[in-house]
Formats: sequence, structure tokens, C-alpha cells
Amino acid sequence: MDNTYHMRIGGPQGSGIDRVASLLARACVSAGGEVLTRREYHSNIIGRHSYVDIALWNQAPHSVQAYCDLLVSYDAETLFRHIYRVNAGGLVIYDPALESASIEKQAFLDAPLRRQLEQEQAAGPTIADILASANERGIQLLALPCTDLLKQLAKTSDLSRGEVKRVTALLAMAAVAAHIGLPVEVLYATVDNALAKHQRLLPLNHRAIEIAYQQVKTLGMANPWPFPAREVGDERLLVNATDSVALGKLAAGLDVQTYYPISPATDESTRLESIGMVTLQDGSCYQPRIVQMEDEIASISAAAGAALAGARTSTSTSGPGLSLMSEALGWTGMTEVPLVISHYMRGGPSTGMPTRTDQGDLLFAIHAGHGEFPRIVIASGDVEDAFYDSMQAFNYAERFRLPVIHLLDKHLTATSQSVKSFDTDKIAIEHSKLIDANNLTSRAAPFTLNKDAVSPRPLVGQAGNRHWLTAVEHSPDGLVCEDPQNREAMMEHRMLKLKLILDDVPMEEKLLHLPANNAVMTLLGWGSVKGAMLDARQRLAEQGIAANILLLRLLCPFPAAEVQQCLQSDVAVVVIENSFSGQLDVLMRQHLGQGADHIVVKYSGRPFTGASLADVLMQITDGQAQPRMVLRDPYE
Amino acid sequence: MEKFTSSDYRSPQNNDWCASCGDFGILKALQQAFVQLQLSPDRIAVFGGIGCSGKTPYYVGTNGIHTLHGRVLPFASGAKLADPDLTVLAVGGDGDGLGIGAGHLVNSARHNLDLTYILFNNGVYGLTKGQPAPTLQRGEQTRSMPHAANSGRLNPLALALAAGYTWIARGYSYAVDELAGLIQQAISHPGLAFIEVLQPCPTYNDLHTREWYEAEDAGDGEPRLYRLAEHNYQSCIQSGATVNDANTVRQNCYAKVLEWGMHIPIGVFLQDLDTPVAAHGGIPAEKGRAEHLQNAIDDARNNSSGHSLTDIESCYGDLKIDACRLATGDENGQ
Repeated sequence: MDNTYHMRIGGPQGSGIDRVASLLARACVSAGGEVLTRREYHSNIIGRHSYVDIALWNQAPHSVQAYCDLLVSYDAETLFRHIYRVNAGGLVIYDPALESASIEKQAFLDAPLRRQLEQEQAAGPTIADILASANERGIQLLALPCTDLLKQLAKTSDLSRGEVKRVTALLAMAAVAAHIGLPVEVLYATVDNALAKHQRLLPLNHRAIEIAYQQVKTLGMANPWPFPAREVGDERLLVNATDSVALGKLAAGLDVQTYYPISPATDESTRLESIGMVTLQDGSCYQPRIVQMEDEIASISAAAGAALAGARTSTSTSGPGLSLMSEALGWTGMTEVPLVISHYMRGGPSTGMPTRTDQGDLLFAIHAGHGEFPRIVIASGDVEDAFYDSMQAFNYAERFRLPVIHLLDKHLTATSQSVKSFDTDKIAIEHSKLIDANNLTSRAAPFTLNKDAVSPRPLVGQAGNRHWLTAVEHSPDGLVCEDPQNREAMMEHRMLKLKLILDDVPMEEKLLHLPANNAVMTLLGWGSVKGAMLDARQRLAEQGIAANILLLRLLCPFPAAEVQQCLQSDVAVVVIENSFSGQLDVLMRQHLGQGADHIVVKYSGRPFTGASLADVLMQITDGQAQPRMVLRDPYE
Repeated sequence: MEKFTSSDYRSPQNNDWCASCGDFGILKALQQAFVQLQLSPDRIAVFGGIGCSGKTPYYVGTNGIHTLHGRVLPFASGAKLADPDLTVLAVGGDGDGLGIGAGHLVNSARHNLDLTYILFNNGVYGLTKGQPAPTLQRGEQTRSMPHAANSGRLNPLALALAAGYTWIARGYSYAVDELAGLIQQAISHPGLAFIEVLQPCPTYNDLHTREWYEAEDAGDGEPRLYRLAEHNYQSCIQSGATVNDANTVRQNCYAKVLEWGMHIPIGVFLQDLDTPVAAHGGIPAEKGRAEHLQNAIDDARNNSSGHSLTDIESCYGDLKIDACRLATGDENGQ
């Protein structure tokens, strides 16, 4: 293993794919590796195809790839879908019982992919045919007779046939583990840990692992584990963005989170619920209130109500949820209430593709709600950034008394990464400047006009203070007032925040700039394209092509001056975005008067992968590049 | 000597409701209830929806928050979640609660947070000039409607009962003392209380007028409005009541909420002391939460260290992966 190793494990949803992939990833990390995983799945409970990629190396991989070095399957559909994405020299682990399966019988194979396979691949209609053809392309085959092994397991187990069948995915995974040389004890320990509450299943699981290891060893396909064992004290977390956002919120002192179930945001709230009681550094405990509301309108409204009373409050949603929240978003802007909204983008419009990734909500997040009011929109580039950004989001909300939309996406929710323990001291905790209720002679004015600062904030319930709040246009006292001069003053008072934010937020919080010597292009993006951009840059560098990276973190207000400062007139600017239109390019035109030289977009609902992106970017130096390039991959 | 008098609950804001609007009676009853309960004005929050009734928060001397059309209950619920010791009231019209906000009206009951919700029922959308509200009967036509209502009537109390409100009452806006008593009981009830207030709209509802409600003879020699308390009606489900006993009370309540037209009962319809009050996240210690909030507020005021107070390691749970110590092999598991 002399480079990042890419494994793909596929099968029907509900058969344990996700579980065993997670076990394998955990075991690899436990044994000293670093992983990055990607999960693709349907909006379905059981039966539809899903797959997990695991990139493994001794340092953190930036992104997964379209092609894999190892494909493991125990159903025919996985082989039909992915065999053409196995690198030459790679390995396919399959169940020989599937050899006669034909492409016509694959009910869930979508029509375009079926046509693609039939037209492009002349291999033949059965698994045996495509395996033979793969073998000719230099791909090794490892027959793992899952069906026979299960029968063997059933004989020695007193569990039901159904329960025995459920270890199919584990068998396949254990074969992968054996092939990459993962010490079997590590896998046992990982499985024991996961099954702590299901002790009666342990013997069967151990036996399945044992026979898979035996099988691989007998075939002479077991390799040595390539990494030194992990040292005690150098532990890792394996987290996706819903985990790291949940943790970031707790680090920030979350009091109340409201939500309504929606893919892919829900896992964050579920994580918060499962953590439950939080221990503080002084040893005391508190339990944040994680409340499932009746819809997203209620979620944001209740969150706003909690924020009024001084709670650190957030809500979390995806796609259609933010559409429903638009009206109340304006309320928080108008009444200057600090609120954090974690928005996990997914394929839109409407119901769109609930379990696929997309960055098409950028302009919506910036403009959601009628009328004009200030807000902050930030985006996280990876799972680790998401932790610190969600901490920082509360600071921004409180410092500037406004709603903060924290953009994430399905890709980040489906990417688990091994990371070091988070450092909560990296972000200082800030609270709003409050009205001093001790010296109040009359009612508190919630909005004092000030040319250079955000006005101090009253809290509902704060002892000694009473005040009115309304999202009807109001005077600084919070009283309804539609006087034209008052309106002008209040609009200026609110919109001034956009300038204050740009003046106040330091450059490193606005963007990530990674310049390169003699760069011929600047890769400009935001959010989850970060991983593929970093990976592509490395690949370009190997080809002698230098590229700068400019990753925006603050998207509203737009840090035009800083972006301008990072761009050079003779270096091609390439916007990379998981959307149809390349919305960052729209913002560039709006705020800089000039857009990118090229946009590379992908709107299939699948994330960018490093090598594929590098291939497209190569066209720019070849002079072959169009202004707008679409990255397509029919097999993802 | 009372610490707080009615002037503590009055507002300097100019009131722009129409003269003789039923809302005035409700406002007065609200202020009266606060005096009776001697609640500190800074520890009361009145949330309003949108419409004439939604302006009520402007006219009380407590904290007053004007929210969005239909969303008053979630806003109020949020404040209660953040500050469980705060006295929280939500007020809104029949269009606000039964039309655009019906989903919240129903689902709020499931949480059973300790709030009071007052629904001002005047049968019309007043502020938009008299369109039929969901409480108007099919076929009824008020002053500014171009034709009779072609949709039927939602029964607010029946809906509240079905949804699971744990305290349900109906008041009348011109019976101010009586209404103040109901509001007082509603605030004191440990759970979500619902009060429908019959509130004539003198400008747009020329059917359900003060004269109509107060008819001493509705046609059979009996007055239209009558008091449940005077009719030996049992409204209470005691804590620990059997399912049968509880259901008997609810069934009797359902029979009562159906009465409308000729004779309209007012008073307390249901008092459910058995259903537990919300404890989100299984928090037993409401007090602990309030203290935490107070700490957060103090932190903000003192702008203290800025270090996260959270022991983040304690939150990792199964996200943390141990370095695997192998059963065999050397110390490092090689």
C-alpha cells in the first residue's frame, strides 16, 4: 500500500452495508490507519443499492475517488454497477454463486445505467461475463462463497436462519480486512465493542470473521498490515459532519435545539439527543433541550423564542426545511435575535434528491425571506471545519445579533473522517453585549442607534427589564413606527451590520487561501468541494501544474476585497461547485464585477472526487477548456 | 399591601383597536389576572400572533413580543423551554390559531409545556377587513363579506380537547372579572391551558354581537350564555385517575363543547391534572436549567474567560476510537 487505498463495499440497503463499513473503518483507525469514507444511498429503507467508499492511508485522505482499488460485493447489482470503476491491478471480491446472474434481472438498476452498461460494455449479460472481462483488464478476482459459508455457519449456530443471513455483509467485510492485513484481533475487538449489548450474536460474528480470514489466507491473498499500530494517547474520533456539528454546538454551550426530521440533517439532532447530559469542565452537568417540533416553521419559531430568553439556540434542517423557515428567518433579522441555522444542502428543487449532495442553496441561503435584512452565511469545507464553524456560528450570531446560516451538505454528512480530538480552546466563546438592567429607569430600548457598533441586547425574562419586540417596523424603543425617517434610520441601523461584519471578521475566518508558486490557475470554491480541490491540486502538482486554492468560508456578506486581493489578473480563476449554475460565479460577478474564467460544475447529486476534477482542470492548461464544464460520471 | 398594582401591567403605547372592541375586555382581564397573581412584570412574557388580537403584547406592561401569523405557540414554547420559570402567555385570533396556525395549535398540546394560550374568537379576520374566520358557520354572512361563508366551522374547544390540552375553558370578553379568574386559573395550571374567549367584533361581525351573546332569552326563555359552574359539571381529571374515569370526564367535556347557538356554556371545561407536564430530554431539574441560563447570562454580562465550559471529551461516546491493544504480540501490538 504505497498510496491512499480505496475500498468500495456495496449491497442492498438494510443488509448491514453501512454498519459493516463503519466497523471496518473503525477497525482500520484503531489499528493505526487514517480513513475518509463516503456513503451513497437511496431514500429507501430496504432493498435499494447503497455503497460505502473507504479511503485508507497513514495520513488523512482529502477525498474519495470515482475509481476504487478494491470492490467487495455479495449481490449482483453491486458488481454490475461498480466493476467498471475498479482500477487495473485492483481486486474484486465476489460470491461465485452469483456468476449466472444476468443484467436483465436487476430490478433496481436504473434505466440510464442499464443502457450505459448494455451499450458501452460488450462484456456480456452475466456476472461471469463481466468478471472474465475484468480479469482481462488486469483485475484480480477473489471468490468468497458467501452462500456456502453461510450454510456452514448455520450448521454450527443455534441462531435462526434470518439471523445467520444477517452476517453476509460482515463476511464480505472481513474478507476485505483479511486482504489488507488488518489484525484479526482488532476486528474482533471492534465488533465486540459494537455488539456489547448483543452478546448472544458474538460467537456467530466471530466465526464469520474467522472463516472469511481463513478463506482469504487459503487463497494466498492476505497482505501484511501496512501501518504501525496506533499509540495509546494518539486516539482518533471517527465523525461525519452531523457529529462534528453536534459536538461543536455543545462546545459552544448549546441550550436549545429544535428540529423536524428531514434527510440528511436529522442525524445531527439524533446525535445531540443520544449524548443527552453534558458534563462541564467544572464537573457539573446540564442537559440541552433537543426538541422535535411539528414542522420546520415551528422549529425556527421555537428556536427564536428560546433565543429571545437568552438561550444559545440553533435549529437544523435540509432542503425544503429552509424554504419553510424563510418567513421566521426574516423575523429574527428584523428583531435582531441571535440564532444559528445549520442547513444541510441536498439535491433540489422541491423534494429533489433527499439523499444526494448539492450546493444549489447558496443564493437561496443568502436571499431567503422577503425584504432586506442582514444575515451571515458561512460554509464548512470538511468535517473538522464543521466543528469549529458551528462553535463560531454562535459567536457571530451573538456578536452581531442576527441569524447565521451555516451551510453544510449531504456529502459532508456522509463523509466520516478520522480526526484528532477537537480543541475547544481554538474558539473563544462570546455572548451578546446585554442591556444593563440594573440601571434602567424606564423600559429597555432593544435597538439603540449606533453608527459603529451593534446595540446591546435585552433578554426576555431578564430581571429588572421589560421590553417590546415586534417585526413590524419599530422605533429603537421597540414600538411600532412607520414614520419615514424612523424607517430609514432603522433600515440603516440593521443593514450597517453587513459592513460591521466585513470590518470585524478577520481574513482567515473569511476564506482559506493556499497560494502556489507559479500558479496557472486559482481553484475557487466553498463548502465540501474543499477535499476534491486539495486532492486535485496535489495531482496537478504531480503533473507540474501549480494551482492556488481559494476556499470561501464567509459567503454573506461577501468578502469582495479579500477575494480580490487573493486573485491575480494573469491566473485563470476556476469556480468549482456542486450545482448547475455555479452560483459562486454569480456572486463574483455581483460583487467584483467580474466572474470566473471557467466554472466546473457537477449536479448529478454526487460529490466531486479528486482525480476526476484534476482531469477536467488539466484541460485548462491544454487550452481545451470551455468556459463551463460539467463533470459527469454515470456509475456513481 | 400589594407589591404590583394594575399600573405595573399597563403600557404607554397608544391603543388602536376600534372603540368598543371586545379585545379591551380581554386586555383588562389579563392585567387583572396579573395583579391577582402578583407576578413580577419582568418575569412575564406575552406573545401575540398577527391580527388585532396579536397587538395585545403592545398593550401590556410586561415583556411583549409580536410574532408571526399563526406561529405564536411555537415562539412562546421556545421561550418557555429556555426559561422554565418564566410565565409565558400566547394570544392570537381564531384565524391565527385555527387557520394558518392550526398545526401548531394541535401539536403544542402534545408537548404540554406550562403555558397559557388565549384564543380571541370573533368569527372574522378583522385587520384584513372582515373575511370569514374558521369559526364562522357555513352559510353565515357578516357585514363585509360579499357572499355567505361556504366553508364550515371549526370548533376550537373540540379541537383543543382532541389535541390533548390539559386545561380548557371558555370566557366572554365582556364578563371581565370572570375572565380574569379563568386566566388566573390557566396560568396557575401546571401544563398547557387553552382559553377560548368569545369576543364580539363591533366593526365586522354583525351576527355575533354583544346583544346576541348577552340575550337573556335565546328563544326558549333561557339566556344564551350560561355558566358550567352553575350546572354541576365535573371538569376535573385527578392525578392518578383511572383511564375509565379520565375518559368519562373527556366524554362529558365533548358533549359540552358541542353546544353552540341557542345555548353557549362558559367556564372551565376540562382540568387534567393527570397528564405530565413536558420534560424535554427527560430533564427532571427545571431549576438546574434555569440556573444554567442564569450562568450564561452572567457570563455574557461579565464577558468572562471565553473558554468553552463544556468537557467535550465527555460528549464523544462511541465516536471515539481507542487505540487497539492486542491480546498477543508486544506492547504496541505489532
